[in-house]
Amino acid sequence: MPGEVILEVKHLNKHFKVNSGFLGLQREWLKAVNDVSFSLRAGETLGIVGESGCGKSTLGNCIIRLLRPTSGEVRFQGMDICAMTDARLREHRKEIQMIFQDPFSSLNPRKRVFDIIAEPFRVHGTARGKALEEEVLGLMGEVGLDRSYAHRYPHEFSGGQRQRIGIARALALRPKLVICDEPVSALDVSIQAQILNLLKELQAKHHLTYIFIAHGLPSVRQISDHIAVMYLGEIVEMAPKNELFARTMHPYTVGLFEAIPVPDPGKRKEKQLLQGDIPNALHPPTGCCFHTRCPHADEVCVREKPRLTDMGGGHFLACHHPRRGSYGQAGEDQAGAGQAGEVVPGVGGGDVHGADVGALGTGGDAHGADMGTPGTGGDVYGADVGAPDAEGAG
Amino acid sequence: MQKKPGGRILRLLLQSYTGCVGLFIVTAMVVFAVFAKQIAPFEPNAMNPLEMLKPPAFCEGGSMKHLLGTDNLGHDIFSRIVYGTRVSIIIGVCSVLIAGFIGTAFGLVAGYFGGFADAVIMRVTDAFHAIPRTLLALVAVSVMSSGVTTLIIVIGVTGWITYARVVRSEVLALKNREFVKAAITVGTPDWRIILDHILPNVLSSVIVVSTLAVATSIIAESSLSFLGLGIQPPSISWGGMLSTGRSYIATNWWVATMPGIALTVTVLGIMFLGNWLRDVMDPHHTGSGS
Amino acid sequence: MDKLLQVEHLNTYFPIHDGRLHAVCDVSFHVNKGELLAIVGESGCGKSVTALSVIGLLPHRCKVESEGIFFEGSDIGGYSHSQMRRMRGKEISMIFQEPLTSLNPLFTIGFQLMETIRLHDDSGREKNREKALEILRKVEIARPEAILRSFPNELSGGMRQRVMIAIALVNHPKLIIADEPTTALDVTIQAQILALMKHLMAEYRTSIMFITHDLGVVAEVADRVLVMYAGQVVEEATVEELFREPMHPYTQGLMNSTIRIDQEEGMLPTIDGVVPTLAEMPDGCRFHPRCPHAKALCRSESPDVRSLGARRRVRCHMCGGVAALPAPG
Repeated sequence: MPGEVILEVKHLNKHFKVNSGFLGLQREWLKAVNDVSFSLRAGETLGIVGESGCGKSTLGNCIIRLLRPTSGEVRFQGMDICAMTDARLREHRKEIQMIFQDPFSSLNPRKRVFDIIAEPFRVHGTARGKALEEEVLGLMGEVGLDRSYAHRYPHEFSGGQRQRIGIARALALRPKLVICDEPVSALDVSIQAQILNLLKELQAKHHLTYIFIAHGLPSVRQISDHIAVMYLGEIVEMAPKNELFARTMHPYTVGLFEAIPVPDPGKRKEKQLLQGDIPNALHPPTGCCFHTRCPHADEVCVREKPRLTDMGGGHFLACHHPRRGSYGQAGEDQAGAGQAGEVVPGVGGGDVHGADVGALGTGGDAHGADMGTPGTGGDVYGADVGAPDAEGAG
Repeated sequence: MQKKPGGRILRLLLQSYTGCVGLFIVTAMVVFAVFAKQIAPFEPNAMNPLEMLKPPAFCEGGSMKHLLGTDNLGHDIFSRIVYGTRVSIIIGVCSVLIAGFIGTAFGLVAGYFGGFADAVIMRVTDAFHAIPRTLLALVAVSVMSSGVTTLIIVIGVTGWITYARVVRSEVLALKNREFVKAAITVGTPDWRIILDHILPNVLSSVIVVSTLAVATSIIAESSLSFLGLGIQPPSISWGGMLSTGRSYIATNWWVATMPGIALTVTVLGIMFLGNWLRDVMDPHHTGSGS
Repeated sequence: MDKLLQVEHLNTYFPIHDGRLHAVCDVSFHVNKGELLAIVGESGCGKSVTALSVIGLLPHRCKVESEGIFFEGSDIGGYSHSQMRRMRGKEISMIFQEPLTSLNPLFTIGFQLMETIRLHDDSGREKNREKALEILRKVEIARPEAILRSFPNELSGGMRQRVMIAIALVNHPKLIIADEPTTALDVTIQAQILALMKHLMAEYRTSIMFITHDLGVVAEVADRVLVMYAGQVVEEATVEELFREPMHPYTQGLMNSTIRIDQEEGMLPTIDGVVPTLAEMPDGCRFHPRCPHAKALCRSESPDVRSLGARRRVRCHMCGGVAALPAPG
């Protein structure tokens, strides 16, 4: 089923200028997306997972060029979107569309449903009059909206129905690539599944390619063929879905899995949680960006940035000490088991984020007993707090 | 489920006492202006030396013939107030149209495009803010003739800065809403995004600002006329009437007070109506609950 | 077990221009000492309004009626404003979803924390400060002195929620009402906060009323669960029972449609339709338009809450006998 490569992202960077310090005189750069590369085949779905501030939405906005990347290439069907003029881009936009997170802000409150879905046709002049009406009503049927709703205003609908309207609008131009920016995270539990099912149906029917951005792994797993995990603007692990689930290598991905609440009180267990806070993206840690929270970090991690390398089977990883445990099973831990216990107490007082990282463990039963010193949460939280950081953020 | 929009507006009107009062006053004002000839019992400029400075009907010595009394030349004050609404309405509405158009356009451009256009437009508004309206009126009157047109231009040209500021800040917020991003990704051209998506969403603020602006324009006209820079006799304006009444305030208070009351009531009525309109313009607002 | 809080037939109404909306409809429940009761439901099901009704934080124009809200035996439903104010923060405290809006941005964390201490148990500036530092250490904040001096906007979301927990706990309340305390947080931070709350709950022997929409979170932390739908309690059970054998069709649907990480791919089971709005409640059972088992009876008559065993209640016509419904697939 997978076709030819439809999207190629090469060394994409997006940096924002931030004024800070006294009177905002100090200029700093926030690296929201940092050297991200991947490619995607037609008909496939790439899931991008990460917590807030990891740059996943910025990445999506760069691909559709709502934001202009600082550097790098976004090649869609062989053409570089970043280098396009606005006029060329407008033609091209038909092929890439977006579904937004917040169904309450993504629909113009003063337009009726019909006009919202009709806008793409009107802008591109592809249908009018009777034909337009048929197209719009057809789309409404396709996303599961009653035709009689066409002349209502968005505020008369629930979140799930609004999201359906947004999906209909995104599909109006028959795009090839659809960027779904957290399309279900603002919805109620029972509605999330409805929308995911709808997205799957539409993908099969129209042979769509998706980039599915989300902060939770469960929904990403349901829809993705490949999954990329982002942390502080970088892809730290990327693999075909089944590969990622079978061989979770990056400690952060392991932590993400562990943190998911399991709806089964029988499986309640002492969890080995990731400690500490997500560092301030304005002052990312040295070396590996995850080392402040990583249970396996050592001097190398503090000093050297790991490169995203192919571990075989399309599994890309940026980590000095790859793990070889599968999620949910006792891992046959080989690689970093021994040295992982020796954790460096920190980078030194000067660095805010490295400050108080003590010895702490994930590992535990699920991933092979590999830790020397189990975590004492008390020491850990200093990492991200305190006066120096506070000044930076203000 | 689906209610007729007319029904909703009526329901909203009945819910709001101030809205009713505002609508009543503004309607009355329009009726006065249109049917001034039929309503006014006297020619506004008809002098009657026999009945100078007659007090209003409800005071001692007044008569029903001159409801609100007469001024120093024996003009019937009620008739003059009725005719004065014409000037007030014309100046209020026209100057606000000019100001609103210029201000909204500048605000949209500044807010939407940002950058250089924004910087230039905002500095121009600052500059305009610094020029006193009276000074500009003095210059305009000396260059052009004094009259309704001049007044409209002076008030309109000085009034747009409020619009530009308000509209710009609204646009800045709207620009980041996802529906605007959605329009961009669909390929909608900028001008169409501005007119289709942004303008309708700032319109309710523009209307609220406008009602305030009509009120201030009417006051501005009156004060300029009061200073002798505005409407010249024999044309009638409330400001001019106030100006004549000033000398008699100690002995014949009604000459200045009556047009003053007319001015106050009108301005209040317009503001009440404006507040109510703001609620009506909001599609979410259906009273309380829906 | 001792009942700490007992709510009897709570009804809450919101006034609208032509009548009133029945937001919480005949809700009864209790919280035992040392227990974590989860109230779970989707947006608009009345779970937050229930909590706010109990603690008396609804706007004045809302009408709260009940046959008693008993806290340690005394009916706080009839308490005056000042009586309630003395209760809040001392006996019952609250943690909200968005800590940034519940902390005042203009004051330091230290000031706000010590203000809470001073209001209920003032023992001098130095003592108060010591207490504040101690509670911050309890919520596992590493450098409490620095935190005392910082402002809310200087902290991360997870850190702010820790501070909120500290403020809620500092006067050793008997009951904490937590309204979606982890919904705004990232997954890894949510896991930390949940673990912390469980841990502190045991240490301080506090009861928690935990409001959430996430069944995963419920399974992680709860002892007992109240499932709400459209302003009513539809099911009540211990957490083990509920997850082993959900009885109400809504609970079943909610469990099936919760996306699990270990779930096979393919079409996800869903609950059809949408949650009804307060203004347009269906007749009969409120769930019947979405219920796969609805019969004529369900359309015409509203079911009562039925007790099935000592700790289990269900509001469903079809759940008289346990085997009346097919088990969730």
